[in-house]
Amino acid sequence: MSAAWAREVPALALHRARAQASLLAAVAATALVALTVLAACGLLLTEGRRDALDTALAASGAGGTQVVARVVPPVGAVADADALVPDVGAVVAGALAPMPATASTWTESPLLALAPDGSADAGYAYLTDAADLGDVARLVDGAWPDPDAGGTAVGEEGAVDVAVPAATAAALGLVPGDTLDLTPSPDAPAARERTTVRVVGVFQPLHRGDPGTPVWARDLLGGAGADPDHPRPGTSGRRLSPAYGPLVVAPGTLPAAGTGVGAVTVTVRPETAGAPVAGLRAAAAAVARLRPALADALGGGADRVVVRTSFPATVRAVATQHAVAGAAALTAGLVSVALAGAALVLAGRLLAARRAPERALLLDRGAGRGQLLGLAGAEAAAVVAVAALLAVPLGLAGYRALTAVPLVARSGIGAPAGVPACLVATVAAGAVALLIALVAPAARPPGGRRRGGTASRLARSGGDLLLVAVAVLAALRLRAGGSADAVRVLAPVLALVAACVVVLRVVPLLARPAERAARRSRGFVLPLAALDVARRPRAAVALLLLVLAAAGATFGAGWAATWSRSQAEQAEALVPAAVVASDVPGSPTTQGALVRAAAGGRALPATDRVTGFGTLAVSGPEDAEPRLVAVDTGSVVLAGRLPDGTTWADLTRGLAPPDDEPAAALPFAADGGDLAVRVSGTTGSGYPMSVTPTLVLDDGHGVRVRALGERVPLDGAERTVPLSAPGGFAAPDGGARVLAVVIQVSTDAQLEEGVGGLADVAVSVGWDRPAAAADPAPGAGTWSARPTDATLQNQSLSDPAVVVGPDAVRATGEVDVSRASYLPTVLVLTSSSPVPAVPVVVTQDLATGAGLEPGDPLQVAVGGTALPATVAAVAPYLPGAVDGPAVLADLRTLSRVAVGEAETAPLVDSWWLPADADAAALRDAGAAVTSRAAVAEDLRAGPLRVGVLAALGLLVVAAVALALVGAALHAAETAEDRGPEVARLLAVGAAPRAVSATYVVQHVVVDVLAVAAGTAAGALVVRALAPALTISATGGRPVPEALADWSWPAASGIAAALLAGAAAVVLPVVTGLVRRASAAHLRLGDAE
Amino acid sequence: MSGGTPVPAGTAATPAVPDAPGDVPMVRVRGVHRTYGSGRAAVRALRGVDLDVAAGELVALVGRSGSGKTTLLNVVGGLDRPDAGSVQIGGTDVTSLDAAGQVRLRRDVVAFVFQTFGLVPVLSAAENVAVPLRLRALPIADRERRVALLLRLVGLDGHAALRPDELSGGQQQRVAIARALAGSPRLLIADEPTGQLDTETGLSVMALIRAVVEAEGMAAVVSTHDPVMIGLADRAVRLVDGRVLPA
Repeated sequence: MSAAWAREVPALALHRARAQASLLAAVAATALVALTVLAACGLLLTEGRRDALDTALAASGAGGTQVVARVVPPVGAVADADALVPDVGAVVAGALAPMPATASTWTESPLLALAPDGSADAGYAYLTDAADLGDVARLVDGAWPDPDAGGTAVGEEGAVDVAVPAATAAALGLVPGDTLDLTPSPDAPAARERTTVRVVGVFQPLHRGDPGTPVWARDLLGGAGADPDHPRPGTSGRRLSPAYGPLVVAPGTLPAAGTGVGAVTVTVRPETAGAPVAGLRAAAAAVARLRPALADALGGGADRVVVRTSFPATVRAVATQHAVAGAAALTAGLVSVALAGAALVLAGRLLAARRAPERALLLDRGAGRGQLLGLAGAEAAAVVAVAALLAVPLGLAGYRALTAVPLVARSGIGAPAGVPACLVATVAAGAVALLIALVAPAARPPGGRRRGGTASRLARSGGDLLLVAVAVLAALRLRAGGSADAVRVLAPVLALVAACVVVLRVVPLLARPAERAARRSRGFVLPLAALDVARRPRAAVALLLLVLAAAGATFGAGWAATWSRSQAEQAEALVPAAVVASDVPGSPTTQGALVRAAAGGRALPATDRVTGFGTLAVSGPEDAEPRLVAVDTGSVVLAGRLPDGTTWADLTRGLAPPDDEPAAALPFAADGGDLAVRVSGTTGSGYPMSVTPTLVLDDGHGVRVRALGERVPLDGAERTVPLSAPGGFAAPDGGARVLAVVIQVSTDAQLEEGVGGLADVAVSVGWDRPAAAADPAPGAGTWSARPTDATLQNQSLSDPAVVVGPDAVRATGEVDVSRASYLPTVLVLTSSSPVPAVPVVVTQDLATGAGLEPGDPLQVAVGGTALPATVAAVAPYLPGAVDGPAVLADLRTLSRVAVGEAETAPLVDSWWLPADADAAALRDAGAAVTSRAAVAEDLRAGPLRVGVLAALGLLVVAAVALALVGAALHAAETAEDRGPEVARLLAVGAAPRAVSATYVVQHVVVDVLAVAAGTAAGALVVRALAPALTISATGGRPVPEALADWSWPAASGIAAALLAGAAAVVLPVVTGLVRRASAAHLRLGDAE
Repeated sequence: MSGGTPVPAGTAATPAVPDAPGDVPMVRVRGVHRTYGSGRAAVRALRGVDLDVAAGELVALVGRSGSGKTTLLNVVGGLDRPDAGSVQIGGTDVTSLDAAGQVRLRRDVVAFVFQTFGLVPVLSAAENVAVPLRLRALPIADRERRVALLLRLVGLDGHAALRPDELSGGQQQRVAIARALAGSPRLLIADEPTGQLDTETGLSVMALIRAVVEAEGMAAVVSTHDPVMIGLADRAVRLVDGRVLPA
């Protein structure tokens, strides 16, 4: 039999294939759709993620991946840069291996004193040999130093040509052609006792605030050009002096300058393209250990080693997003596989049903079940092979179409050039699985299709319960923060399948009312359809397919909506205004003029800086730094969702100052650009005393700067004292006003405690007022005089008072002469009423970590002063400060309290601007500009993140396609079974149209129920899991917490597509069924 | 069983076939030919069949398998159309009816009983019987009353709620007969109605048909192999190779 059978198989299979060509074509089409979807998912998972990873790493810029190692040789050692650089480079490159890397080196001199005697009086400057500066600096005057020009003889030694930053040039009054003598500091000896530099060019550092090009992170002053409060060499930061630089020498000429080496900064940029995730993780771990590794390697050659890099954080964020995108693609793939499996099982059953009679005949003739299974397997293999061959190019084409979608194309995910091996492997694996699904029904024993009794039902119920339990556990794990890839993939898939199984149990219950109504009705079509629906449940696999498709598609759409909404909300939280400009050059008032011009006058100054909270121990992310955010809370509309209907207006109520102090401010004439005051004063002491005035000026737009005066003897004479406003003062509308005057009285001699007694001190500070100013100034009577907290502690001032005139203030008080000799007595004259503490909104993690509640006091560091503050409210996060402890204050209140403590340093760090602000103009001016819309788009559809949306889109398309294929197969299966029944109904006098209508109504009712149930299941899973599946840019939980977003248009569209598609499939099948029903069917029994 | 119980008529729409004059047979078949396929594969199922059946007459159609019995029944019942010849029911040529007329013929005039019973599996016995009445949109109360009456007639008044797969073969065939009678047809066509029943059950079913025909005065054509069944008919017509043998 076997040999004969083997000879007969090909002919039999061929004959049968010819006879059932349309059926086999339908099965092949199903397999083709399934494999094509699988192929596209596989490509997204492999090639797409690979492209996205490379693009994401490239998009992180040099700042995201470069490693900057700064090595400071031992103080006093005249280090050899040529010896240090290779060692440092080798260690850094070794950490990044096997990734290739390029390195560049900056070499700095030690800080050299500007004063001839090496003292700190005039400050310090330093030279830098920076080879690759041309791309990050723009020459504004003169020329770059020429390495071939050599030095110009000045005195006994040659002068070194340098280019200086514009800020340095402005601060030191340098122009090309000027020379400068630099002297080694006593703590940093150099080869030469004096180095003369000649300024040949002035340049403007570019992209200082741009994280993509952080070249200036290598510079001692970060490209600022000047730092008035730089730690003085040899004082461990206890004493400060001005510092200027870098004075850029021609490449390779620093050794000739004879200054020695103050620091070597080696910047290594790895080539991350093509690097595997595992390799990146390993390199990130090595880089995290780089500082001790460098210290060990350099031994005594390094006094201090600093490693600055975002590489580990970048890799961590990118790897997490890579995993999440992969999980989404896997989820989409698994749901698609489940759908495809169901469709294939339907196809297999259809094949088996069609072949049941001939199978029975062959069995009767003596064919073995194994032989028949072999025949079925051979046929299925041929069908699946054809589908697989076609699926490779079709999957590739589908993936190419996906990468051509603008959203995906923008992310850098491109189509592969050839046929990737992973595509072939995916299709091959899928083909094997589909082959099994196709052949399985043929392996059942004859009559095995009928379900068993109670035991079988119990087993099925137990299986369903187990599935639901596992799904619930996985969902709970995911919601609890389980970030393992397996949980991310399995939780949604299990939840979808379990939800579908549950709703499958519910669907028949919905048909019972229809059944009751049908029994009591008079007609034929609808009642018969209802009775049929209620009593002849559609094949579970077919129903599951439709329910799962609806659930999968709506889940995909819901997750995508949740993802997109959350990213937009995260952008709102990350970027506190539509546009934020930071690192704007100049003082706050000159910045204000610039940003107002770029923003149509709608610019809000803001404080956004790292701060400290006194001795409070706070918890937070490992690398989170405490932040202070302050803005005019009366003018700003803070964005960002808060929980439980709380609004920012609720939280920030009470932060603003109780009154509006500019009403009492005094007009100040600042038209000429040069600021000056007239200072005079008397003291009843016999010891010489002096006063240092500082004015706090407002530009008329609420922006303040300090104008520092020089020390003036209190000898009764009136002197004109020039004021220095770092970065300049601009009040272009002529609205300059004096908000406060800080008077610092010192005794110009060292006295023992009690010596000198008390002195009546009177100080007058006057200024020119604008000609058009009102006389007297309104509200001038509200000025007050208060000592600072330090002066109060020192008990060096009593009876402070102030008298205010239209253009002057006169302060009086009793000063302890001896105490003022070692700590200046500081008197603050302000136009505003006193504010004892800054009310602040604190973040929940700060409140939790420090045990703070509303009403509790705390301290907030501003400049060098710890300002008193009180907790006004607790918020889950603050605008612009989402990942660590932070406080939010009103900028006016903060400024008032700071001035009250004589802390007059500028508070403006950034500007909050409207969406239509001219970002290009601001960037041209050297500012770093962040657009909330751009951040939102990057969060939503960045290179790795768009993979999630692409996978979910693919899931929606695959679900709809497979559901329609399944609907067609099921309709065909139904047609096979229902022929005799249709013939009977026609024979008893039912019109063909009525019979058709009955069956169409049945399908539509079941389809509507299935789609509704599936949509409900999808909605359930979206609500339960979509927020937990949504992550932040750094791979953590989003801030604010993601909310499930249900898109009714998307859900309706999917349901409509499924129903319309199913109807389009069912109509011709039913019409053909009724048309083909004949008298021959009347001799057939029922199929079941 | 109350085989002689008179069956109340349903509310019929316009009949497809008017009442025949007294001297016209209920069924008149003349020169009917029916061929399936074409060319060398053609099967000539009927070759010039002539047949008359009077109202109240039960005719047994006898013949071997393939002799053309089912084809003749389908042609007479309007389920199939002859290639040539005519079929008149109550004096109306049903072969010339359009599709709607054919539907009305099957709904109002002719009723079928099949060898495989032909019940709708998802409907109960009562609901199966009610199908022709639903097609006529009979008021619900009238429908339920008539269904109950018919089930009592066939001895299944206690089985109204059972589905076909919960009934025996004989019970299913009784339900099929009740359904056939529901529309008060004037012609009953039964194709091997006892073919799947044991002898005793078959005999009771045949007796039921006999009783109904007598009580309703309808014409009936029943195909069968069983000599016992043939004995219950008023006369037997033998078909051989698509031709009616002379009596």
